[in-house]
Amino acid sequence: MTPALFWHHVRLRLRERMEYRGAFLLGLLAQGIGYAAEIAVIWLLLHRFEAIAGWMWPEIALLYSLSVLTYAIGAAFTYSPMTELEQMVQRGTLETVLVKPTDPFWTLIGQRFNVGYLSHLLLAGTVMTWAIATAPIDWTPASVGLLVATVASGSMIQAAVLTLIGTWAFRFTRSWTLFAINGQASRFIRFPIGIFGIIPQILLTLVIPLAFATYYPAAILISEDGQLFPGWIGWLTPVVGPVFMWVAYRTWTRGIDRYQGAGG
Amino acid sequence: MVARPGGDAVRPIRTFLAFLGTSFRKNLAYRSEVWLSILFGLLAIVIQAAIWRALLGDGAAEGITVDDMVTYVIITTVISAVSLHRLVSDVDERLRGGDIAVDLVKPMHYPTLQLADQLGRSAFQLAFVVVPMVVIAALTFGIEAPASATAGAAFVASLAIALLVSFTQGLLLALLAFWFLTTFHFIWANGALLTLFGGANLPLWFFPDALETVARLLPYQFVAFVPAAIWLGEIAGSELAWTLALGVMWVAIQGAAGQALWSAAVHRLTVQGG
Repeated sequence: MTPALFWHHVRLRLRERMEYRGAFLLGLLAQGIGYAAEIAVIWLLLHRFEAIAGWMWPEIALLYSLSVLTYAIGAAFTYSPMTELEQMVQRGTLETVLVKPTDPFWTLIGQRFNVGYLSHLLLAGTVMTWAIATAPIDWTPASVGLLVATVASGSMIQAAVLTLIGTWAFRFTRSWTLFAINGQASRFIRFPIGIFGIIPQILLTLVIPLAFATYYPAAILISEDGQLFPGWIGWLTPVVGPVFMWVAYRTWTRGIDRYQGAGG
Repeated sequence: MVARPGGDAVRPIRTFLAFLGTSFRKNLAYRSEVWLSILFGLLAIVIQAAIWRALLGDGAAEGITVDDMVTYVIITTVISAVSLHRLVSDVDERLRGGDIAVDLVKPMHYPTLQLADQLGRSAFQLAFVVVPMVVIAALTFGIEAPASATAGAAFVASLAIALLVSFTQGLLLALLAFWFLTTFHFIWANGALLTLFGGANLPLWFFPDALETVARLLPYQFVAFVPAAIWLGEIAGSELAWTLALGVMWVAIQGAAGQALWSAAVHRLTVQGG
């Protein structure tokens, strides 16, 4: 899967969605309203209580926008391939991907790149711009670099989580409950991690490292002390995403290999 | 069935219960996945409880303590597990797949049939998800008893209202699919209003005054805030009577609108079917 071929697939997807331009744009609007309501609730919460564990509204807004932004970018790549995998197995269309000379993982991602996350990007981008302009951040080359790396690496973490869920669902069960649980787990990383117990902190740091998409780098940006884990681990953010994505990719590929064997 | 005097009055109820039972058994097929649903609910409770612990500590705001909020969160999570909104996606799917034709042959008014179907699903959720979830949550975080006997009784009434408000709302959204052939946008927009005005994440008593006034008139509060607030005794006395009356009114309004839309939808479907 070369970048040119990938881009070709994305253009096809966009053209496909634009066939139903009205429905596509309305869908973006509806999702935008959904996320706006979520933001409004958190804003109302901070409006009433001023801070959560010392984090004020601009800082919480930074966590929220990082969470939505990285999810939107990650999900644009892996959400549709992973949720549609089940149906493809049932209908036998997965074979059309497997017989292609390109790597099945990247083929699926290219074919099913989801262009429907534009409202997420717009909304999260706006909130983040406001948040980083308002929150007390000391801007140095290192902090700018960390923020950019967080968006890239965080998106990989989110994409990897979806990939692992897809692998699990491919082998064991229907997937929608798992994706719903992931949505629920995403809410953990929209708040300062210290308010949660030891177990959630360990899980979100060492097992499913979603906290590296929001909390750990944000804590460095606003010079917050460490919690269960020391504050400096936020600097590991640029490494965590690629490594976790590689693990997810390997796991998925192994799951698919097994499927080929069973198809015999 | 042998015809007997008065049999006709009983039959619709029997048919209704039969459909409800069928739906319950249909859901039993997914019982191996209930632990995931339990986990889903527990995560919601863990997150919310942690947030309120951080916000309230050992103190109180507007007379509300952490223990009150934990109970509040458990109750709103339970209600969202049993609420009947889900029929939107069911109807949408059956409409696009054409299965709706089979439903229309069934010997029952279609919206009532949907109610039986959704209640069967709720009964399953109650038995297999809600009960274990509440037991675990109560053992882990503790749950307060209803504020009084009146509060307990009123809570049961408010639960019935919650089911009917969510059902009639889901029905209205589902029927829009007969015209627009998609419900995605309406589900998101309605979900947004529920997130903001339902009060599951932020109880109405913490709202700014103007917004609280608006929220207290809308139907969304009945699917989260009202039952929990009644349980805690925060809605009591004459306010309780007014609130329940408003809930019944919203059920009637949404129900009547649903019935009107249904009559029009059936007509439309016949035309399409040719």
